[in-house]
Amino acid sequence: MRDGSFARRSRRSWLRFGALFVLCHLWVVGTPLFAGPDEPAHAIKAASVARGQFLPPDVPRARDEPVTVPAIFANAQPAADCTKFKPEADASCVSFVGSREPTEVRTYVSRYQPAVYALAGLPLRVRASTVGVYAARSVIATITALCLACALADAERLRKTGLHAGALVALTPMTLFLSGTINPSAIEIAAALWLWAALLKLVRSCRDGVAPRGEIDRCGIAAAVLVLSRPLSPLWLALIAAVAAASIGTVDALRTLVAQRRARIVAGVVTALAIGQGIWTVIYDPVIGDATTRSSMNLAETLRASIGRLSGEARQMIGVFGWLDTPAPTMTYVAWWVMIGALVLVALGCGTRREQAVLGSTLALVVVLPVVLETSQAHELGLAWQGRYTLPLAVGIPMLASTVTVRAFDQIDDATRFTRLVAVGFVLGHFLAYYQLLRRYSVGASGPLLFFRVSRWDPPVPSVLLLVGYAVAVTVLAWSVVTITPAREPSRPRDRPVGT
Amino acid sequence: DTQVPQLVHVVWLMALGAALLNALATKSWRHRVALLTLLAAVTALPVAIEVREAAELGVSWQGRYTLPVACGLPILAALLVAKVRTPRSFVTTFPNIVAASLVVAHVVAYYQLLRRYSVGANGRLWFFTSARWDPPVPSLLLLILYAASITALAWAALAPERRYTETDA
Repeated sequence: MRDGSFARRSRRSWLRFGALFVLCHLWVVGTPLFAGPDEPAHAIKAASVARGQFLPPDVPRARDEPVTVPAIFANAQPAADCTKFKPEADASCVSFVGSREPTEVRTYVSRYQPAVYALAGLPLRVRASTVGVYAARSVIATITALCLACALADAERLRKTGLHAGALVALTPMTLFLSGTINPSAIEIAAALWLWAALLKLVRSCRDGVAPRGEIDRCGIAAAVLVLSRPLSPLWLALIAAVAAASIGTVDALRTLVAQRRARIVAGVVTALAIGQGIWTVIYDPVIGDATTRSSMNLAETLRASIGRLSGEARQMIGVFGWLDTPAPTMTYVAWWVMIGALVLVALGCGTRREQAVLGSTLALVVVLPVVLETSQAHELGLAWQGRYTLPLAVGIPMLASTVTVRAFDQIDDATRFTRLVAVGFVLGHFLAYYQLLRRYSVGASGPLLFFRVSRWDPPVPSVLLLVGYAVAVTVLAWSVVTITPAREPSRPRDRPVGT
Repeated sequence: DTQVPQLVHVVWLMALGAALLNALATKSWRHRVALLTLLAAVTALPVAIEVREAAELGVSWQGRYTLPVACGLPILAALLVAKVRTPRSFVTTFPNIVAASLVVAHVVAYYQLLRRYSVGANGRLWFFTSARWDPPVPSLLLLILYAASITALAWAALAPERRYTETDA
């Protein structure tokens, strides 16, 4: 029972990309300069890479190392500091002016892998100014929107399993917020989301005895973008591939895939990129601490503190904005926990033993890995793990869960209504999150609810207009996803209802 | 003045979400309207009553005042879930998973109460040997009793599910 032509799917894909492009750019415009986490450090790195400086000069190793960029970038961190960790401070104090003369400015991400910065830095090479920073953000936002649109397109190809509902829940306000700042995290998360969708499709195709070229290519591109984004990305690639394969893969499916020359080439290229990133990490050691970051706690204390930080990190995965100083409204968290509960608990109840084991293991990894990684590095970096670091793996949970939850409805209509309810939660949660971002920087996080006429800081486009635009774009995005009809007959015979 | 750990809120929201969203997917308009009306009442009534009485009593509504109505939400939702979710694996496993989650959440909540009064809300995690206040019965024993009781309660509540499974098998 096919529900539409290629042309219709194509139109819907473009519509989704348009909506995502607008949404990401609304975060670009609505977030004051350098109000994203570590944004000054990443902007300085991007400006240096765009000028051909991939590494700091040969000086004694330190956390903050100098790179040569226009002098105006020395004012990036002060611009951030006026609102950083001060949720009641509006953004009227943010100022970014200065000379274009080359000078040495320090950044603590000077040794990060350069790929994302080479692209984001191009506008900063042309214009080292406010406009340049917005343009650099726009590059990140555009790549993120592209990856997310591709993820939703692949989820649509698996509509019969309900993956599109999970993909919506996986797209949290945090990812879109990060897409509006100069920071490679957004691209890492978006590429991971795409890779989850593409791999889950490819594994299913291989199980059915085919490995279409298009699916192999999409997996390869998503994996390449993911691997090139951040130092830890190769680890996420390995885990995502392992979980996707474990979800339904078989030895025969693996044989089908390996038999394809194209698959071997793509796997080779991605592996080479991952090894390259790994070698870069080993040689240049991009993440180091100093006296200000090192922790003096013993192992037991560190473990306890790290476990205690998990609930905060979970909130960060949904949305904590600014320099992690601006929580989203409580309703946003409620909406997300309700949606995740509806997907995950039901999946654990409906799935096969294998599906339950894979979902349970992924949940365990999302909880345990941050604690293990943070504890192992605490002596050098302190307790520095953030929710966004876990998101590339965590976005797989609602996606894996939705393939069980939506499939297991007795009737297609029930599944469709369920997906629409998820979309309502998605729209509501996103809208409130974006509203709170605008309010926080206009009048402070606890300022007047109707702040539009009393704001002390205004984004380049009036806040009301941004908010209306956001409401329209997020509704269009959700609508374009929920109007995908699950193309199947009821998959299970109707059992006797409970309680009869 | 003593919040339960965040985990407890999350578990409850997830369990409620699982019941609500699946129940609202039911085909019957009547059932959906009933559930949404109850949801609206639970949300709107506290605001309406509090606003009406604010001049005299101030803004003083508390969550417990709403609970007599709000506890109907998961009950009604669970009844409706059965109409859209009937595969055998779901009927047998889902209630177990929800019950296990809620048992853990209950024990964690009770543990935090004991900890808060023994060593303060942010005191030592293993507070049983360093408590500055002790209840009439030792805290550790209370916690074990609580865990055993809440598990027994959940086990007893799920007895109809087990009977259904055995009969059906």
